[in-house]
Amino acid sequence: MEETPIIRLKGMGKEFKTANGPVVALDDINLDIRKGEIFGIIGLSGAGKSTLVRCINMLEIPTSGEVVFEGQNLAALPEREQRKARQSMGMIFQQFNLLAQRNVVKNVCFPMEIAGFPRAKAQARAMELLKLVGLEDRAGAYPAQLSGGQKQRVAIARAIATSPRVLLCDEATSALDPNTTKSILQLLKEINRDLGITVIVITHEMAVIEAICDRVAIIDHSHIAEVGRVSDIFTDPKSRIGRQLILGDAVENVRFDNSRKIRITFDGRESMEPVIANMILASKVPVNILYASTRDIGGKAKGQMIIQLPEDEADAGRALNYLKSVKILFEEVTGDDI
Amino acid sequence: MIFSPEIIELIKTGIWETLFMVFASSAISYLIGIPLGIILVVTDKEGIRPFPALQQVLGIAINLLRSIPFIILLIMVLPLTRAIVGTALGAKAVVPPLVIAASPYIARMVESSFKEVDAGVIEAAKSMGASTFQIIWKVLLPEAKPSLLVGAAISITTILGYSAMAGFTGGGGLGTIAINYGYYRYQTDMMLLTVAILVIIVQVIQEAGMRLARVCDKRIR
Repeated sequence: MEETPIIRLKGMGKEFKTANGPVVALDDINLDIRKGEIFGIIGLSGAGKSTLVRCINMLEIPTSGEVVFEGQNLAALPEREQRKARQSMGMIFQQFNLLAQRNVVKNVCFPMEIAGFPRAKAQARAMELLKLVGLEDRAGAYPAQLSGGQKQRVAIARAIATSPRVLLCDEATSALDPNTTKSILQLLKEINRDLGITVIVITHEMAVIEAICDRVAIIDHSHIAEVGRVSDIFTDPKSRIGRQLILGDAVENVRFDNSRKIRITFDGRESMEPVIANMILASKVPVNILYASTRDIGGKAKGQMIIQLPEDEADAGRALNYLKSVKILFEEVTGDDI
Repeated sequence: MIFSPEIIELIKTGIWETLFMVFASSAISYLIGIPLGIILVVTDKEGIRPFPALQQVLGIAINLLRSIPFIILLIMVLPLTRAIVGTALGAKAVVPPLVIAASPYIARMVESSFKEVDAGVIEAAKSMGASTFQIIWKVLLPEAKPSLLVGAAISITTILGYSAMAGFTGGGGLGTIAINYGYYRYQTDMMLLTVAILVIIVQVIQEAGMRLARVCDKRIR
């Protein structure tokens, strides 16, 4: 049941000309984004993720390769057609980018004015959308009178006003506090589920990916380092950057000296059993827990732990053998990983 | 003696002529300056329709006009004034040189107002598929409105200052009275009176512009 993807990037690249010669922002990007999924793109700042999302809706024109949206190569279309295609893709931003001189309902009407909706129809739909994002009582307010979370809700209502098939979110929660972030992510999830809009989330925060994304692409130095289901990458990251992002704040909290360390991941099922206690009892080897945290990945509790192994080779071997025997996933981590 | 009926009549005519010169030439200058300002911003190499060659040529032309002192310009364009207005004397004849001096100035004021518009908002409009014209009409102009009004207050008062110089070529208005009575006939009281009226007009225009800008700016809670 392999469906054709709603967006397919084929060998896409982007080069910027600067005073100091050309700079490669993206190189040979190949990605399939499936209809109806929430797809995450994560990377450190400067990795090229913002350029990537702008190439999807042609705000930046790729210098090589193809951007295929619903079977059409956007990069090859004339500008007028590209503008038309953009109306099928909503976008929200880190700084919300609302029109400061227009009130809330007029902001939501804005893309419909551009698309040529009749005024009355636009007004009615704007009110409907404001209800959807829970701001119908602020319709007459101006952006300066709203909180950050409220502004992003207006921006979301605006972005989906012309019934796009795709919603692009460029660091949409990076300027918000943790609670507001949670509620905005929840709203994005609802929009994805109830309206069937494919959502593409650009972020530098692993927590955002873990909270709402089905699949994720990790981007590093203009290339895609790995792509996969979020839960798979969490348990078994293949790339160095993937490990770094998954380890998150552990990187700062654990001293990576010469001792051997392993990272164990487990899900809700295993967390019922005292894994570490059993390991110590079975292998008669004391271990040191350096770091532990649990994450909520797609609604399921997932945990990770970094354990320091004893220096004695035989002791360490026994501890690892125990983990293998009970099928606990683990991998060795060293200072080189971060 | 200063408030004799003749003098009062003279001053009244002066005020009327000054207001006519200033507002007529401001209106025409804005009709020219706004499109020029838009072209300067839109064709900038970071603009929404980059055309650096045009932008640079226009920029140089504007700088050139702006570097000519108004009093020189006033005399330089006399033949043109005669051709357009039919005379080189009176308030009407001051309008063409004022427009030539003010348009490039206003183009720069308008350019700087548009440059204040948040680039993110323009990007958002682009992401919705807005055309260049829609971005200018629905984003740049309305978002820059408060700043354009502040700019207008500054521009109009500057034009008022220029118009006073027109007295040297028999232009009319309060400037002419100040020069003819105060400068040539040493009537210091007349000079002070006209200057005082000019001060009041500047105050009123400046304050009105600032207030209007504040009232229509929705960024203020």
